Amino acid sequence: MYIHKLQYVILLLISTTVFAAPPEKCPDVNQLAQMLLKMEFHGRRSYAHNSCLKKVKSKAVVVRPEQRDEGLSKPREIKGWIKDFKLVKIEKIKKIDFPERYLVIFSYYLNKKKQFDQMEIQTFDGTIKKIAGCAAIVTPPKNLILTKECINP
Amino acid sequence: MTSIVRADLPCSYSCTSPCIPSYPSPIASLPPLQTLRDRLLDISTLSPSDAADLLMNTFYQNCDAADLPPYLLLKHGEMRGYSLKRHPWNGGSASQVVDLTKAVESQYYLQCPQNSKRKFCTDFCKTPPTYIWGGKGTYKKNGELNLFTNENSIEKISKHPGIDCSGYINAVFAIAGLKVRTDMKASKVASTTPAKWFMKESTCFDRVKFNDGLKAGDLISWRKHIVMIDKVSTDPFALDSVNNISQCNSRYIDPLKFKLIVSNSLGGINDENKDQIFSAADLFGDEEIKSSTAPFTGVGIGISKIPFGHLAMKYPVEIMELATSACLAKFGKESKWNKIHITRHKLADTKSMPANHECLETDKDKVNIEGRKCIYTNCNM
Repeated sequence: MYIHKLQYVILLLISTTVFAAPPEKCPDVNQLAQMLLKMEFHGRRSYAHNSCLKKVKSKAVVVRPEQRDEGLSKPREIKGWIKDFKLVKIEKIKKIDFPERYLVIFSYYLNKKKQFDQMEIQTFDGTIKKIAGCAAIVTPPKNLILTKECINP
Repeated sequence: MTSIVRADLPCSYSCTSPCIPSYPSPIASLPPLQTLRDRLLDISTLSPSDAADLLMNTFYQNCDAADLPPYLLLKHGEMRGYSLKRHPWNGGSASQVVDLTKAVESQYYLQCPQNSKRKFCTDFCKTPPTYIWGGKGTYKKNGELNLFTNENSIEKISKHPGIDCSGYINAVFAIAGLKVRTDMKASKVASTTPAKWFMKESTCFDRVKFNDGLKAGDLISWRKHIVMIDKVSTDPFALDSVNNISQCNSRYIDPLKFKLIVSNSLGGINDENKDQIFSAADLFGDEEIKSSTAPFTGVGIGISKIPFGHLAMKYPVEIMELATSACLAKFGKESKWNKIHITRHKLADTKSMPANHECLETDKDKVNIEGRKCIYTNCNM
């Protein structure tokens, strides 16, 4: 019984890290881009799969599915499934002409073919960091691709 | 209901009594003054912000709803006593009452129990309203809008009134007698015109630039939400302390210091955790915010007036884009912001409505709002 209680406490501690406060000093933009990309490939924009997000844990980025797409007339189309997130690579990150915003160009292998896509992200500081975490996606990738581990999250 | 003072006109005396603006002599040619009651009875002269106040009071059957202090999310949290229900694949939220006491207590704008001496009022103390995705009221063929019911698919789940963000804004313009779209009448607009539609400059709305100044009745819209400005200060984004363009970023811009109140129908913030209730401290972790134990249940309050900056909890990218763009504009740089827009109805500032205008609803298509009789009969105007 004591072990069960201990397991319960440990589980509680782990579950609360999903919503823990962002760190005092945020990771650099490369690391933040990597975290956000991981969220993208783990169901951030697919309501049916967004419980897969629990596989993505980060203190720096608020792990929350994109707010409900109220107004969608049909589910977002999943363009493909990749075997592993390790097949995703950030090719380039460049600053764009708006404060704290970056363009993230990345590649992934789908059906053994290399594909490219991009997303815009924004970093946060000050009060908004306490509310929203260190960064968020501004413009998501064109295609919705998920990892196969999200098939049965 | 306390009088709504026209911000553009001076009061003739202090506002301890109903404040009726006095027209200075240079504009004596304007038509005779109308009292607030007259303006509200003749809905063709309602400004968007007047219409928003009328709609709010009518929706809650409460004379004072629109005049209550802004709903502070960090203090009050979200609705309690509801079970959250989700659309199966797009996640739109509806809810059911499971604990009536908590539901009534958490609905800020209801007065329960209702005063039994009031006439013609509907009692919502057993079915307190919330935000409901897809909720827009029902528009009858005779031109009446019933805000207290929704289409069957929604009524099956949520057996209480509720409205979503675009449903609310479309209803506001319908009541004001102002067209949102020139290609269809008000009763058809609500089901076809989501928040993101209002982002584009259209035949009935003009884009507002920061240097033009923001006004009550202006709309702020982005892909996921739309709000109407209720009260705005001369420094809405708290940029007075920003001294140079290099400070136009999130280190120097604090959404919790914005001086801008908006009216909207607000959905849940913590809406993916239907089986858990989180407090503000759990979600946001800040020491100051930790002092609040406001629960975030995922069930949004619905029609409400809130500090605009509080929406940064749910839409940080859009809210910060707007404030950052305002900051850049302060230093003469026009940014290519495109995620969030401010628009104003072409007839919003019109003091004397033209007889005909493509953005003015015709007499036969004007929308009346059910439940208005309660307000006119019982509210001290």
